[in-house]
Amino acid sequence: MTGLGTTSLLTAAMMRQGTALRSGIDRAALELTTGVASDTAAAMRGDFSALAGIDHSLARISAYVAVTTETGLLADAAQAAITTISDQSDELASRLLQSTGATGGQAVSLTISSGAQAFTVAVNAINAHASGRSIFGGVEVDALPLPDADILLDRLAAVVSGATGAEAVMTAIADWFNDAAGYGEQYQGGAPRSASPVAEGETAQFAVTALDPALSGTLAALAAVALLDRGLLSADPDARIDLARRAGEALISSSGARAELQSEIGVVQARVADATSRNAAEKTALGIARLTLVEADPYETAVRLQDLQTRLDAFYTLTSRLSALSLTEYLR
Amino acid sequence: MTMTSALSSALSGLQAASRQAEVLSSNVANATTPGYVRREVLLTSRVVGGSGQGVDVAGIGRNVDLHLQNDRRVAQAAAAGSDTRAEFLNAVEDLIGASDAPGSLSDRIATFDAALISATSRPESEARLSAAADAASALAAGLNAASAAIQSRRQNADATIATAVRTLNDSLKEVERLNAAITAHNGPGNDVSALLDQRAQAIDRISTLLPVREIPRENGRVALMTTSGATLIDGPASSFGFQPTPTIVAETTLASGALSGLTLNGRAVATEGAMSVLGDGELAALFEVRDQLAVSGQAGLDALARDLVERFSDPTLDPTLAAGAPGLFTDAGSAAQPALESGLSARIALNAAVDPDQGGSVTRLRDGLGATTPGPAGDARLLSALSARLNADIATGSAGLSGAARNMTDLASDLLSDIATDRLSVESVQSFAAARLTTLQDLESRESGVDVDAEMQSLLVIEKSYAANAKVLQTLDAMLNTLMEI
Repeated sequence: MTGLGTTSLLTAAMMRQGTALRSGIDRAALELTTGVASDTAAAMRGDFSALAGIDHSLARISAYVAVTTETGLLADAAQAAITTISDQSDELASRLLQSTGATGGQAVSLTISSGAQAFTVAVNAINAHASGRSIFGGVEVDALPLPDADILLDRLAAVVSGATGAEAVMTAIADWFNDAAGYGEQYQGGAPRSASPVAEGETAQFAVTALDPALSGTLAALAAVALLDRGLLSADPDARIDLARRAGEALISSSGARAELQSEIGVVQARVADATSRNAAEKTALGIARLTLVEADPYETAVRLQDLQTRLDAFYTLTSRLSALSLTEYLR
Repeated sequence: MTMTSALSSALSGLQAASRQAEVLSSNVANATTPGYVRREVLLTSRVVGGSGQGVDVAGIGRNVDLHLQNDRRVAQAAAAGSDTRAEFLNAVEDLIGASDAPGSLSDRIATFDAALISATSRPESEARLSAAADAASALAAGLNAASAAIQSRRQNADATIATAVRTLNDSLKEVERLNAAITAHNGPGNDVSALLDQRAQAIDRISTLLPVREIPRENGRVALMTTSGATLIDGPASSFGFQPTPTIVAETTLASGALSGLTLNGRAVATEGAMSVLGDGELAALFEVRDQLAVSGQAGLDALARDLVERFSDPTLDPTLAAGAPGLFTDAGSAAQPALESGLSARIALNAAVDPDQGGSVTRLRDGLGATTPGPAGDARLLSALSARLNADIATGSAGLSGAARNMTDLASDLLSDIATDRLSVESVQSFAAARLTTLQDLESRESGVDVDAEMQSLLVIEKSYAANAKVLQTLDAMLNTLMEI
């Protein structure tokens, strides 16, 4: 400041006031542009528990997004695999029942040879991967749950080779698929998956494995058709037609179980979808709550800024007037 | 009245005026010098043989209001003390950090939790397990860094105390020396103002460190007493003693004898509490930072670290964990002992079994810390349990915190809230102390400061008086000439 017009005290006091005004303007401008109080602790009166709780919940919600997406993908892939198996089984069942009802073994042979592929398709569907993870393998996500269809059929053929008559063969096949030492031994996967957290306090569990009775029952009926195609009971055409009919009936009767399995997975999908929308809603609500906690009221801040600006204007005017009020100037 | 006595009167008037001009020019020159006190020339009429003959300079006066000055010095000490405290608490608050600050303790806890939840979804993904292990490691590192920063602030406070004590002793010596110089030159007509100014500045330096009151003694000497009643100087100067400690860690405390206290003339004196000689100044605040604020900040961090270690070392959480074996977080590699809580936050580390840098494997986060072979890649039970444990309300074992059952986030935010509340209350003390100091400084400079306008007014008077005396001389000269021409 040029020209010490008044006391040095006035100069020091004015410098202090100028600094105070300018730092007040800085703070108000910062709060107005960011919308957040510049001293969070002061805005919260020193209590951070609410803010920390919200921030932690927000962090968890962003992690849930990964879980819901991936669990959803898994359930969708499982749904698709079961649909593939179901569609095939239903179609094969109706053709089997139609052809076994007709006279002559020609139609049945045709149906059997065209339906033999169904078992392979079903095994491949159960062995399918979704984004690098086995769908029906439980916790063993890297392993294929089942061996190749041909290997399965070889092992099954050895088991049923002694059985005679359609009923005995069908029973032997069904028993093998229910046996922990039979089909259970072939299963390469692990225990069912545990539940994953999908939202605050909510979990979703995709626990279906290849051991599910709905899948093994369907596989048993499809395996009977595939074995027929391999030449099982070739010596007894009537028994072949009988076994084909029984396979068709088994496919029809297992369709209820497949539908149930699909609805079970549908429940998981619904939970995931619910959790997704709940998380989105919660994220918005928490964001608003968070802002309310740390918000600097824009009207209040704007008024304060205006007031400070007016005062700084006045202060500058005063400074220039005071520095002109110097006796030294008049003594020249 | 004879002609010669008239001549001598006029001459003394000229001398007085020039002396006044000299003092005035010094005032104007020092108008903005801090601590400069306005001087004025004290005049008396000269008496020779019973009758007045001219004017005499009796001395140089200094306008000091001792009470105001003492009050200002006490306020100055209080302001410096609360500045130190507020600065420390602010720094600790920033260290722990609000939950929205990246890298704050709360943020690290939330990141760890989120990483665990993500890993639950794909337990076979090494990337996600690594992210969880990294987040756990970052949490431990965050505690290590906060503890190290608090200890380095303690170290700093200790070093600053050593500097302050040296300043204090030097200033006390200077006051003693100036007292002697002022006594020696304190005769009539002598100007000891510059010495008085220097002494006032030395006392100001002392009074930033601890509040002192100046008590006038004979022959211009002063005595200094602290507000708590200890005499610092009354004749010879007292001397304070302090030994700085080269390395300070959490376990180094005043109580354990590892830190130096303060001595006054060789006797140990209290630095805190009712018996403290320090009063409320920067030195007392530095001791408070070193011995109380930083210690309690460290204790809070240690309590949090202990809770974290104990939370995850429960064998029911991870069945592969042997009883007594260290859990996910360790005390520098081994299981934490409740008795060794002090300094735990400096030593807390991620278990080497899950740290690839230390020969561990992140898959143990999924399979269990004690797992010898990899388990099923899709098994998320342990990961879910870890995340649940982080959010479980568990009673704190540490004596440093209340035993209320809290989850990790609450614990961290409670720690921050404690410090933020302290900081806010110290800041309100700080702004009061600053306002009080400002008021007293304003009052003091109104009393003793230089007003340039007033000096200019005096200059006009001095100019006139000089001219008048010169005119008298000129007239007397003319009269003498008239006589000579006879």
